[in-house]
Amino acid sequence: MEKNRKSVCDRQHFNTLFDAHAETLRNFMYYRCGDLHQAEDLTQDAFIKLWNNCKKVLYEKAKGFLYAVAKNKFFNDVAHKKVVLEYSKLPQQHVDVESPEYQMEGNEFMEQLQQAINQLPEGQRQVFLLNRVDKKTYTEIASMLGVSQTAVEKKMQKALLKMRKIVKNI
Amino acid sequence: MLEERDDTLLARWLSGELTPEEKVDFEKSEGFKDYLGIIKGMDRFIKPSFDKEALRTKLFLDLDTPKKGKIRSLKPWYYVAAASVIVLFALGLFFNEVSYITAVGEQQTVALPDGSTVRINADSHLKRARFFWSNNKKLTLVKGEGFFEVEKGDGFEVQTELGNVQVLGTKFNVKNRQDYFEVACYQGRVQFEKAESKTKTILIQGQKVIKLEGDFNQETITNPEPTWLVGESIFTNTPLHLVLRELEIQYGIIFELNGVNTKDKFTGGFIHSNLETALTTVLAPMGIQYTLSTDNKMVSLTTE
Repeated sequence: MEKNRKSVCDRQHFNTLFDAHAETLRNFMYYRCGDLHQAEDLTQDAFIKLWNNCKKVLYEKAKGFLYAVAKNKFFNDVAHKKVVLEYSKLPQQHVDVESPEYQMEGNEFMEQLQQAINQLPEGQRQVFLLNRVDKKTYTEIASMLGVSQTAVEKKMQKALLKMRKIVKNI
Repeated sequence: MLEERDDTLLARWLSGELTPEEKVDFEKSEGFKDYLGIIKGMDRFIKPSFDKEALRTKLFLDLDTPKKGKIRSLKPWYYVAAASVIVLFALGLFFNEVSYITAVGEQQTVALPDGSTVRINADSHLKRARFFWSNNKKLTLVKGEGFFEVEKGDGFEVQTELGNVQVLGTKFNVKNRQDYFEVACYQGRVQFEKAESKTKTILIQGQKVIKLEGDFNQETITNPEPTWLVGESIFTNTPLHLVLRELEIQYGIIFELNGVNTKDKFTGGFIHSNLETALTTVLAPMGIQYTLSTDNKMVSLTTE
């Protein structure tokens, strides 16, 4: 066993944690609240809290700590504001090649998808976008949310069902 | 529909975890093309931009600046308590002394808590402790002149930088001007203790101690009470510059000497109620002409 464990209080290790988790944490919160600015603030707050508690948090537990702090902070903020946040638009790649096979008319279809994403419940949207846009595995998402992998898979399915219903107007 | 029977089917399809049989069945199902279309469309979304270094800079700036948050979290009554302590401290600091200050040309009569009175001449500063003064009757004559009428009682004392005057029911005058110091006893007895040598002199009615240049001298008083009390200043064989200084104090004027000799001795007096008369009575016998400025503030002196 290694005697000299990695300490979060070490600036170098703290920076490594920032490199590894800052972006995903920001997106994790963004997909939930739909406000980039708020998501960045929550991310920053989480890292500040991690630094202030660096002696108490093991390096291996830092990731879970960051997500838990950001989530709690977000729920407190929302309870405070009681405002429904408008989900802003995700950027898109511009692809000219369209598959005629599905008869999807490019931009119009993408607009429909964006609308559908906006209408998803927060929890489903968070899981769906982390998987589809950020390419996170179910296991990774499960550990961020602190739930089982099956729970994440169920949420994925619900999200996709709902997307279809909205897009197809069923 | 298949996806209604299996609540993780779509998720497992996306992650490529379906068994070959499940896959075949699903691809034949009604919704398959829709799902595929949605997923292909989703692939065109990209992650929102993220400026990692900007956030890092902001974060470390925040970490390196001292936190204010903890201070804000204090309960309001801590502020109240802290503020009260500060206010009480300030009150104690600023108001534990009473000062009586007169400007040039101004006189004031002060009644002290023990019934004694002090007449304070122009341009003077007298102070005492605000609280419990009767237990320790000390006054400090920071500068200027005062006539003290003391009620019977113990321990009345007037302190000056040149010495202290201790009394027991009496009337006396203390004058502490620049270049001139005087203690004069008009009734009863006073004891004068010199600040430097600690030697004590007892003055009885009609005696005074003056310090002009150099040493203290004992002299006799001719008037029954200080003449300044009745609006006059009287001098006996006094250097002219001290007389001019007294004029400046009583009238709020400034002399321009223009090389006039002010070491000559003057005997006489001036009244406090009329500037021109006062100037003439002092300057004419000394052979000095004067010009008064229009605002009555500057007096320019010349000799013939």
